[in-house]
Amino acid sequence: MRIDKYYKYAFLSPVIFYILIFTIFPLIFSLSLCFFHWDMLASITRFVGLRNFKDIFHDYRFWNALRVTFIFVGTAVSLEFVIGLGLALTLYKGIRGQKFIRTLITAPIFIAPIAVSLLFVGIFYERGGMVNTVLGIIGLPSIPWLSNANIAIFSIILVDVWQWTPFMFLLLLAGLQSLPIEPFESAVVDGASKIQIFSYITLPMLRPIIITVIVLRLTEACKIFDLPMGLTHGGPGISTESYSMYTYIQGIQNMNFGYSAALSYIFFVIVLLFILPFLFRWREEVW
Amino acid sequence: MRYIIKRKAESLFIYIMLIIVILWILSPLYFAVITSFKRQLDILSPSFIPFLQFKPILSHWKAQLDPRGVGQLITKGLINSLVVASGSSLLALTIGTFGAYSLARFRFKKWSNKNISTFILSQRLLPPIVLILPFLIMMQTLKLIDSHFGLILIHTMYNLPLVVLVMTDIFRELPYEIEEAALIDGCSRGQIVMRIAIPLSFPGLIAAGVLSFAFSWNEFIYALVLTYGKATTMPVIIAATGLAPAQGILLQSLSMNSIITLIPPLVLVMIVQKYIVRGLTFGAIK
Repeated sequence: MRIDKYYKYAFLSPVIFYILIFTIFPLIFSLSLCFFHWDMLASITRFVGLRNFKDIFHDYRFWNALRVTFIFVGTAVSLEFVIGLGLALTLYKGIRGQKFIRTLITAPIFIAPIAVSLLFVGIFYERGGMVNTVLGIIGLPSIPWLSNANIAIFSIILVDVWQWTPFMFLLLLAGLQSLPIEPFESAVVDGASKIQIFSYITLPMLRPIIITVIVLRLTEACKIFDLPMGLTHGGPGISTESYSMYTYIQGIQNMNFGYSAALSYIFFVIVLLFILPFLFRWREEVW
Repeated sequence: MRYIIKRKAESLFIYIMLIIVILWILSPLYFAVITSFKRQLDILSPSFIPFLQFKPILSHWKAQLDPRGVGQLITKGLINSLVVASGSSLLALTIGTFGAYSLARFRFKKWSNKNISTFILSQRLLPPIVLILPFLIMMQTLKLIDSHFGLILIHTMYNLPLVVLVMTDIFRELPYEIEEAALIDGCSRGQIVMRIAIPLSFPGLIAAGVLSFAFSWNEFIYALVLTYGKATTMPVIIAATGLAPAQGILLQSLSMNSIITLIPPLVLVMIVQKYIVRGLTFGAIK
């Protein structure tokens, strides 16, 4: 119907226009910024072509930020997925008080990440913090959670795992509980072992849900800013400086707009290339 | 007999796992709560049981909520957070629901519905940092820096994909017969959305709204960059009181602010419990 066509576009266009104004247009503007040297403090604006990108390539802090972010993303999401799946498999048989437990478990997700990170500074205190005290009671030595360059990044991963494993657990649990029971019954009748049931029935049937939660968690993990900012402010040194943090420091603290724009654009492209395959799988499996 | 023992052992194992998980989740929260009641000299001492290991005091809470002192800052922060979060979730719900109806009920030929949805979801891939500078300049030009409206506009951008995807899924599940009947009776599409689709999908709508609210409530980076006094939201205040060693009472302030900031989203989430999973997965899991 002709009138329907009018409604079809009329209803969708606010959304599309909103995206155009608040994403596409700023993206194009950001792209143009990449080619300028714009120092807010000295009020210099001049076209420098690809020099920003050349400088970034030689910037050790850029490579470090990439390394930190990818270690974080890879480890945190894998851990969250494995633990979440393990918990979901163990606990899916229905427990008393499920609703109450579900509310409780969703609590970490809804605390502001910046608040979580600052609280964990206190929990990770070397002397007198909760973790080291418990370690002391068991008889293990205190661990310098935030002051050792090698351990700090794992502390951040630990905090992220604390906050987001419930997310994975909840969603995988819901997914598991929504699976039909017949395939499992017939598999048991046919004499399949637990491992066989898991690999050939459970996992494949869970695929849409697994893709969804992994895409969601990966995209959020790449952007990580609040956690390193609060826990270690990138330290000790720059061992926990995530990419978002570095871009922020260059842009907002050093006011080096052109360089920061170039940094953020490279990141955008990398994240896009990295996640697009997952996104396309999502599109096929879920839609 | 052996079978019954095995079953009992399994249940026991499950309950032990459950307890471990709950302890693991709750310990940091417990830490925040007891810290807010500790005297300054107890702060770094390993004491975790109130009344037995340390003496709890109420003065920190009283000072924090005192409207003449710090309480003013907290109240302002809470109001700002409330305004921005409600504003952006309402705006996202309004714009997004209509868009979702369009994606659910109409077929797009040039760009398939699937592709449009994927495009909308891909907005979430964008690291906020990429848009920080353009937004800063945009807001400065529009004189919307440090204003509620400016932050609402930005947050809506991040809430739209969630709303659109969740509501599309919900609308697709509504039986079309009702709308067909209404169309035959002469209802316009707009009226159908307002009077049929939305009321029927109300719970999902609320869930999407609550999740948008929660995201906006906890958002930090844009609030940090785009506000500095008038429209500062709670996360920024938490960071300010947590990082700046004002009078040395920072861990307690931090704990109290964190707890205060946690309560509204948690309460809202408890109300929409049933639809939370659906909302969090953008409709993938029912």
